[in-house]
Amino acid sequence: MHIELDRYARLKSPIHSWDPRFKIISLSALIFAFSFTKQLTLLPFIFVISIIVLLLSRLPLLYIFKRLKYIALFMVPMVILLSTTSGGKVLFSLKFIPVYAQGLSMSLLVVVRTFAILIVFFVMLETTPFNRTIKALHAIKMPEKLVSILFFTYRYIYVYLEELRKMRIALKLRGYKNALNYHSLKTNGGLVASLLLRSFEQAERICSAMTLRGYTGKFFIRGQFRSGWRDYVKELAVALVIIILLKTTCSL
Amino acid sequence: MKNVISLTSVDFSYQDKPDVLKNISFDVSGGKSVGIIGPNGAGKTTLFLLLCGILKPTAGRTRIMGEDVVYKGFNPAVGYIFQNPDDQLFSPMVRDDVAFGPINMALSQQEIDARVEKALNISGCKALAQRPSHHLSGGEKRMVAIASVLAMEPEIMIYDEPTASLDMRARRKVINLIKSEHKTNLIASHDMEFILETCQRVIIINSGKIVARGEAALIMHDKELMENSGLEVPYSLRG
Repeated sequence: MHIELDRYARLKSPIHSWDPRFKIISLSALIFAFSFTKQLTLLPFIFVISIIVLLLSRLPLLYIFKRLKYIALFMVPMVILLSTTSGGKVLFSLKFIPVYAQGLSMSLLVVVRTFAILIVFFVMLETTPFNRTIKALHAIKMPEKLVSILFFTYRYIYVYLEELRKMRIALKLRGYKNALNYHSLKTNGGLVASLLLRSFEQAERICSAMTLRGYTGKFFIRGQFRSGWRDYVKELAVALVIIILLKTTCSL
Repeated sequence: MKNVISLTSVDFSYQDKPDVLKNISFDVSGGKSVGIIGPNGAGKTTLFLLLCGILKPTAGRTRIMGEDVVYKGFNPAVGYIFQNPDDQLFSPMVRDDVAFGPINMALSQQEIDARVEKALNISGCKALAQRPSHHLSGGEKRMVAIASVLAMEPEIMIYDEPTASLDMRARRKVINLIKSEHKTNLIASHDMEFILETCQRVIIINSGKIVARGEAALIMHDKELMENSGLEVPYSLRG
C-alpha cells in the first residue's frame, strides 16, 4: 500500500511558492464560500475558479482527475437518487422513471460544488509538503492537540502501512486468499486487531521516548515562514473572488 | 573514578510477571563502557527502563550521578537509544527530531541549532537533516536515533540492541561512534563481537539475576559460563 503524499509538493508554481499559512487561510475561505453557493447561475463561475486554481498549481491534471474518480463513484448513486425521487416538475421520463427538474438541479449543485471544493482542497494539500502544512496549521493557531495528532499520524501512518503490507505478504505466502467467507472475515479481523495491539504497544514506547527527551505535554513545533508582497497579492485575489461569490449569493 | 551509575539491591516485578529482576547491584564509573548480556527475556531492557526512570523498582535504589533516579522524571544526563528506532523517531522530519530534546531543555535557539548541527555531524547524519524520518533506511534511522539523543549531550548513553538488523557498514558506524564519544555507555546486545569491541566490562544477566561480571574478554571467554547463560563465546575468542 502506498500513500502519495508530497509527490508533487516541490513543483514550481505560484501556488507552491505561496506562504502555506496564507494559502491555508485563503483556500479554506474559498472552500467555505463555494459551499455557501446555492444558485445554479454561479456554478460555472465556481467551477472555472477551481480549474484556474488547479492550472495555476501546475499539478498534473490526470493525477487530480484520478483522485476525483473515486469521489465520482460515490456521487453517481446520489445523483440518480436525487433526480428521480426529489419532487417538483417532471422534466422527462426514462421509460417509467421520472426525472425531476428540482432533483436534477439539486444534484447538479451538489456535484459541481463538491468537485470545485475537492479540486481546491487537493491543490491546498498537494502543493506544500505535508509536514510544512502541519507547521503552518500550528502557526495559524490550530489547537495544539490536533496538530500533534496530525504530526504523529503523518509520521506513523507509513510505519503501519508497511506493517500491514508485510502481514499481507505473510498471509499470501501461506496460501491465504481473500474471499467472502467466515475464514476471511476472521483472518482480516485478526489482522486489524494485531495491528491495533502493535500500535498500542508502540504508542507506549513512543510516550516513554518522549518523556526521556523532556516532553511535558507541550509540543514545540519549529516552523519558519516568510511572507512577501506576492503572498498578500494572492490572498487579495482570493478574497476578491470570495467577496464576489458571497455578494452574488446574498443578492440573488 | 567516580561512580556515575549505581544500583543497590534492585528488584522489579511487572503486575503479571513477578521477579523480572532480583537483587541487582552494580556500579559503573565515569567514561567506562559496560556490556549487559544475557538471553532474551533476561531483564536487560527492564533494567535500562529502571535506570531511565520509566519504571520504578519494587525494591532497592537506582542512582545516576549520585542522585536518585526520579520516576517518570526528565533526566537529560541519561540518553536511551531504543531497540526499535521507529519508537524514538517520532517527528516527521529528521532535524525536528534531533532538535526535540534540546528544545525541551529550554535552551536558547542558538544553542539548540549548535547542538543539532554537532549531533548530526558526529553521527554522520548531516545529509539526512531535511529528510522525512519514514524515508530513512534501518541503518540511517539508527544513526538519527543516536543523534537525537546525542543532541541532549548526556553523560550516560544506554544502547538497547544497537546493532539489531544493521548491515556490516552501519554496524561499523555505530561501533566507531561509540568508541569516539568517550561517554559512559551501557550496551545490551546479542552481538558478542560488538560487545567485545566496545565494552571494557560485561555483566551477564540470566532470569533476572546477575550471574557474572568482570572484564569483557575474560568473562566472555568462559565457555561453560556463557553456555549456561544461553550465550556463545564470541568467534574471535575461540581458539
